Amino acid sequence: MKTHPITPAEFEQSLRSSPKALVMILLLAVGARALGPGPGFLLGYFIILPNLAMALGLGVFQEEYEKGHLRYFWGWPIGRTTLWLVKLVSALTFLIVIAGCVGLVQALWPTGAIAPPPREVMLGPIGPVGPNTMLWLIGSLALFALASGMVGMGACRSAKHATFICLPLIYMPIALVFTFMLWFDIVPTAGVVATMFTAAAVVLLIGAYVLFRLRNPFLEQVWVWRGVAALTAATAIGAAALGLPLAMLTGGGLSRAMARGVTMFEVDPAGPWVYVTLSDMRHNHLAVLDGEGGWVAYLGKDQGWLPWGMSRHPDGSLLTEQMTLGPINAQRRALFLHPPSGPPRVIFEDDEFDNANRTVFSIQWVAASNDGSVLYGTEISFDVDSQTQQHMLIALDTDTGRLRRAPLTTDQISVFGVLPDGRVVADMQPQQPYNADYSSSELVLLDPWQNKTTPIELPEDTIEVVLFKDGSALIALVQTIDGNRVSYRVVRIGLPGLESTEMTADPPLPSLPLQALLSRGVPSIGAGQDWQTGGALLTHRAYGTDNPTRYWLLPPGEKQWIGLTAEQNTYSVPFLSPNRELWAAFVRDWTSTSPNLELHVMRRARDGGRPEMVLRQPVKFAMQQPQWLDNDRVLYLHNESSNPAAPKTRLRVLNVRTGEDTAFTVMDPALLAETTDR
Amino acid sequence: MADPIPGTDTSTPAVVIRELVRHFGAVQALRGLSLSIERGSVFGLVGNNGAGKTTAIHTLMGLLPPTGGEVSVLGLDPGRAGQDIRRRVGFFPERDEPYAWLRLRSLLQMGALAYPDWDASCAAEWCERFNLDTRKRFKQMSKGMAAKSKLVAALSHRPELLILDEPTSGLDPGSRQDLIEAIQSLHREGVTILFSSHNLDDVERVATHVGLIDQGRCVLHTACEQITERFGRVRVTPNAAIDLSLLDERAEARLEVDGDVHYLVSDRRADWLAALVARFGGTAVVEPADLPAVFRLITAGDRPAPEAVA
Repeated sequence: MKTHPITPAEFEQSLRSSPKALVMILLLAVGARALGPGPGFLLGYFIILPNLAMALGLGVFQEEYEKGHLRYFWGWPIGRTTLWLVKLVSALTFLIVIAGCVGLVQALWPTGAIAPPPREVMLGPIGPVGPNTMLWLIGSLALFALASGMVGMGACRSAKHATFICLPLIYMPIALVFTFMLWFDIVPTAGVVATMFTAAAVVLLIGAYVLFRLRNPFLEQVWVWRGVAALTAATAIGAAALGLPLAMLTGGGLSRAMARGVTMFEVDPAGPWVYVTLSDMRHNHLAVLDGEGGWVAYLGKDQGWLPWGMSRHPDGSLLTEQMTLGPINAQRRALFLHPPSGPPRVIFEDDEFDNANRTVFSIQWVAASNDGSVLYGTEISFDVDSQTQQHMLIALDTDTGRLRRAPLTTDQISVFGVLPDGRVVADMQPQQPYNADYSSSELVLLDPWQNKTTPIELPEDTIEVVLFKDGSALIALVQTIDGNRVSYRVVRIGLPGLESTEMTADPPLPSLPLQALLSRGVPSIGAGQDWQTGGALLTHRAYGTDNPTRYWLLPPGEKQWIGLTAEQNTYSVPFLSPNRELWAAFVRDWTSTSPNLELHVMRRARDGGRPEMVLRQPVKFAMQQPQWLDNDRVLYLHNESSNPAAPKTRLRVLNVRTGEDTAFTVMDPALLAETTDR
Repeated sequence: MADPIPGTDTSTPAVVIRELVRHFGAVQALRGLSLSIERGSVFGLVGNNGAGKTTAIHTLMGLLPPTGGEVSVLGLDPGRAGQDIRRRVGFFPERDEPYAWLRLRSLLQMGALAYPDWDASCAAEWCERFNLDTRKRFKQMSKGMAAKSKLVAALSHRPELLILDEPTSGLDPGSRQDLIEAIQSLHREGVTILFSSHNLDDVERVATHVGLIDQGRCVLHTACEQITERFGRVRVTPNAAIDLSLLDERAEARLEVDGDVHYLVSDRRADWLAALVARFGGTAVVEPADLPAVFRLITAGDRPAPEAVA
């Protein structure tokens, strides 16, 4: 390949200008990083890098245009397209060097190593972004900014004027993203935004080339504002035309957190109170309503509430919460909440990173003592320097906020749960998911406070183990193969005494052909903790058919299994009414291609009789389970939007006695925000 | 017999311009410029600032498209074969410079990549002749050194036609002398040279032909040796009865006063001027007309331009 004549000059120019430029870039990157890993990352890659890329774009032909060097070389027989490409490649190379410098500072910063790059990064409303997508996003943004600079310089031939064009131009796609959010209720994924940036960059690069070819350095051509305006409009329209359909078509195009309306709810029968998370386009709000949808308390905004982590406390309710403050750094909290008393009280708060000790903490709250006075969790601390991790049991006094730690082990450990007395049920040899083999597990009852370990003997062929939320018992699901039949049974292991009791279910657990197990590879019966009661729930679901799903539910403290049989294949787990007469679940017709769902309310079959359908109600949204407000009313989320990518969800309440389906009065998020501002 | 390859027919003039028009918005830079340059000649293009010299040169190089008229350089149309022309022509722009930080050796390296016929030994020879340090950057060079460097870059591919736009402008006498000698040397080698200049002495010294542009038109186009035949110049010793300014006003001759000495210059022959002076009772001594005097005669005030002569 023939070398273009401009190449030696470009190389010489790069060598000449690089040291100063790199020192400046490194200083900027260090300055940004000094603000902390989160702000430093955002400032480095989303402010400094694009602006440097824009400056680089301006500089690609700044000297040639402003000092007339193009006029000199235009008297030579040189290929102008090739010259443009050589300059572009040179700029791209330098851009990669700039990005590398910023990245180097991020990586080599003393505390940088405890924020490893592979982690997902929270990007505001867009949500968490993985490393590959982040790389694409940063690269496309930088390329777009570079192209903007080249267009600005090509249009104005004066860096000062071009800067005024480029500064708003480089934030145009971001403005488009916000337009999508505000007008179309869609938050594009990082991938869609990166695609938009890439498309816009390509349009601008073509525009920059056309401008370069149209501009004659021997002519005093006037400022081509019409061309720039047309190019900017074409870029905006092109990016929007590509980005909007992409955002609507991609399943992940919608940020759930930004879906408008009620995004989560949980009924606390103690009130009854209903915790609702409401989202507008800017904030998430957590509020407490009474059983009629009336206003009780506003609990805060923009915090990653997890209402279902609720544990009881004699004086109210105890919520566990995980809150993310920055794009990388996170903070964990535990809160005490008594709705009538107003805002929650923070009883524990800690950063995920301890920069001074170069340690990363990962805390998981697991359970509370029965009286609610102690909140238990596990903590994994990772020492960056020694690359070792330590498992601890943590106990938080919910009255004093005092935290106690007890080491568990430095080996891999899977904590099933914490007993009210602070002992831990853990698996010392955790298996891979779906391994369905507990034969090699070492399930133990640990007392880290006394440093005692008691093995828990599981029946042979145990395939699932469920710990009651209150820590009163373990349920082992045992699978037995006899000839060509597979049968199941359950064994209750009392805690902390570890006494085993064989349980019989009514109706009995099924005996199935071995072929059914072999063809699917996983057991037909699954076991798990029941979300509602904290007990055990066995599910026998015939996947891909419309055969009725069957459930066996054992609430803590009960001696008998509650058998529930759906009318067809259910979509969600059943929720029992408080008096346990009725249950509700979402149901989908698997034999149809239609994704339509129904909310079924069933009466429990008594004495082996057939289940009775009480009510069936079409629903459009089943992201969260229905819940019983009381014995007559089921609360569920309803999507009012016809756009599946942008749901607007509202709570509705279905009265199963009257069949009346009405809106559950929930304050509008905007109104809610105004209320809180006051 | 097959047609010759375009641009290789040496019997045609090196440059032919017919009725060249170039407008810059409302400004008419060239208003029907016509001239031709014979191969092997040294053509001096002279004119006042803004007369259109540089515009004409840029059009020849294919750097500016003409508004109207025809241009042929080495038998090629600059609008269609600009790259071919630039490959065969050496161009010395007046104001345009390479990057200030560029070393001369890098410029020559670029030239070797740009021109297929680049002769590195020729470049080295000229650098030595001009005593140029190729390690120096342009910003470290004097104006004369920079001009010589640009000239080396323009002629090291051994061009058939060398176009120099104000090569001696602003140079010290030594550098000017070096460049003039270089042009003379290249002329002896048979290179066709077009150079524009404000300095009429330089043009007189090296040009075989001269073209005078005024307000976008060629108002004089002649061989230098014909200037003395076409224009008359007499030194006048006036008496009291003669009013020489009257002759100037009647556009029959231009009066030039140099101290106590009076000259009359005209596009008529010198003996006609001498006779005219004698009719008024004065005494006239015939002297050869020089280019500066002719330039002043033609470009002065609203005097009607003489018909251009090929």
